[in-house]
Amino acid sequence: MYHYDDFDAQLVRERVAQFRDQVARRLDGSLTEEEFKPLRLMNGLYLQLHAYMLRVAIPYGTLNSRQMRQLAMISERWDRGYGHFTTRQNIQFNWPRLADVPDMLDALAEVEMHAIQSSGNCIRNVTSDPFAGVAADEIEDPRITAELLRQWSTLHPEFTFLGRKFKIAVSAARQDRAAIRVHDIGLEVRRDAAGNPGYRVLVGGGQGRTPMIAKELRAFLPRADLLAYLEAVLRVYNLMGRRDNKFKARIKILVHELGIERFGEMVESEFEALDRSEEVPVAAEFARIARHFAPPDYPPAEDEPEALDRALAAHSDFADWVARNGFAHREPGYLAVTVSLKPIGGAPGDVTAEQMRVLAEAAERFSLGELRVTHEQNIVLPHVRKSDLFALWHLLRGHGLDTANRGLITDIIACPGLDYCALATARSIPVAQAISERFADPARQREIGSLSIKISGCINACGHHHVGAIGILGLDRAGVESYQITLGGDPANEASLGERTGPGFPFEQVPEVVEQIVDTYLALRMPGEGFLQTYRRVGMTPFREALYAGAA
Amino acid sequence: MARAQHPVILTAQDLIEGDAVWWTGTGWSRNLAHALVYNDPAAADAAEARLAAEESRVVGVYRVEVDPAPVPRPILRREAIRADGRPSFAYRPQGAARRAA
Ligand code: SF4
Repeated sequence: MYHYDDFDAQLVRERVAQFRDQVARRLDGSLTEEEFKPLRLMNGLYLQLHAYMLRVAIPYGTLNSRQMRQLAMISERWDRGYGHFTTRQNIQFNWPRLADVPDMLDALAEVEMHAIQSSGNCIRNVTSDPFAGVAADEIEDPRITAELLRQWSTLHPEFTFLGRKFKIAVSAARQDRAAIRVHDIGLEVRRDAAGNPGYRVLVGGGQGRTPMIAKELRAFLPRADLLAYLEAVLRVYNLMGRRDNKFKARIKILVHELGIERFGEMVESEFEALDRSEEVPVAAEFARIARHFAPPDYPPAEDEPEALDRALAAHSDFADWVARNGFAHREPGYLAVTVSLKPIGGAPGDVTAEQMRVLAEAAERFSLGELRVTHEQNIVLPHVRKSDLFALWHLLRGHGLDTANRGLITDIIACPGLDYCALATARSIPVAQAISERFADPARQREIGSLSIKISGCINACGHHHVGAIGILGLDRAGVESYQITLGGDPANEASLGERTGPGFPFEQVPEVVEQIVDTYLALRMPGEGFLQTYRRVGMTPFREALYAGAA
Repeated sequence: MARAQHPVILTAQDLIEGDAVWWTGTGWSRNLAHALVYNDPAAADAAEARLAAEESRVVGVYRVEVDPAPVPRPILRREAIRADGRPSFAYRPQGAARRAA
């Protein structure tokens, strides 16, 4: 994985020292809140409903054991002994004291981490495929490009004060596991007919108040042009974007208002006019970074270890877990494993310090020291020898980390909602908990099959409800929570936005509503069909009838 | 405004801890029971404006509608959760917590 060079390390240390000074000046009264707020936001520090919240960047979701242990230490020493993994592959600490934050940032810097660019109107943490370097359908490791972009965008003078936040996601596989179609810019690594590497460039996707699926800006962009081309895109956005209205300031609105053809013409002419004489050669940079992502030296591993077969036969819980949470690895004898952070009735994405240490130990002993955070708020151990699976499962099982539900109805994405977030209009975690309890039976979950539920506590859509097969959006209707349900959302290759079923439902009714949707699906599905396929075939009508029958 | 007016209390967040504090009439307290209840909207407006102008140890002064007796209880769920100082569910995973109150 990527290691800081001297420049990175110095930059991060300088930023911490600078922030320490700013905090001191805020505490002694020489800075007002108005002056201080933008400074703390630049360092990932929010003021939430109950306390400050520190959002720590985990570039493209990749962590090592040492970093995970440090996160555990930080959560115990300066917070309340747990952390929350987010849909942006970051981690949030919910209870820091202002005076402690500089020490927390120093502790992060010790393990090459920081909270820069995790808030504010800049280019945010670049996200990617949690199975990068593992998946068989991958052209190359997408994190090389993500890291290239991270370095390029970090404190880029021209793009530190954009009209709004700006999110980029990179995928290098046929199957999109990074939701690139709902990002401001989505990049898909491709090769042209001659085999040269480059990118399909998508622009103007996003969720929030006005959700949109990204449109294709370039079918193929040669790799050498990547940074210059993105610079052109951002320049057009900076010049033309609507700074007058926060809700219209995202690039998706600009692309929508201009149309993709006109926007594309402007980008192309900006791109042609760029002075590229001072440009860092992308190929050389790419090669330098790629060395950090060279595949690990895999210790030899048997592809079908006999002991594994015996354990699978003897322990059905273990067999279910491997079948559900395992992901094929391109290295023979290995498997990538998802550690679900969605125990029945738990808060999605929350882990205790103790669990973080167990995850660090699991990575160290069984996954060549590496972990990934997924945008589904789970953890992936990318490189597990098949012969180690049983021992790994035992370790996880002792700490409530063995839930076999990846992609099932209880693997729910939920934002912090009204329990933590100052912007929320309704609770989301308790809704997730109630649904999870309702569908707790593992056999029932397996019968239903893959089905994503995504819950947001307000229109900002941090819980990605627009792209949930079942999306749930909590709103406030005259002081009472009301949950709007959408069906048919999909973040992947066939990206689509969910369609509203109709009027919202009260908090208490949501699990029952989900049950009715599921029952309708089960009654209508053809053999082998998943929820989205059935929904696309039969449409909204039968679901609406089931939900609103007798409501006239 | 057609809606019935509730009495209000004034709140903000502590600069250092970030947690909710309540205006008692003479200072800021973490104890909701000590909050000064304003029945007169004009008096609440005046106090809010004055406190907002002199914010130093606290951040973001605003008013919260309450049901006043026996101790003030916020009407809106958001404010009730905030006044409790913790999420509405058993949030803190077992065994965690150094700074937990
Ligand atoms: S969707 Fe709304 S409630 Fe949920 S975390 Fe985002 S801003 Fe907060």
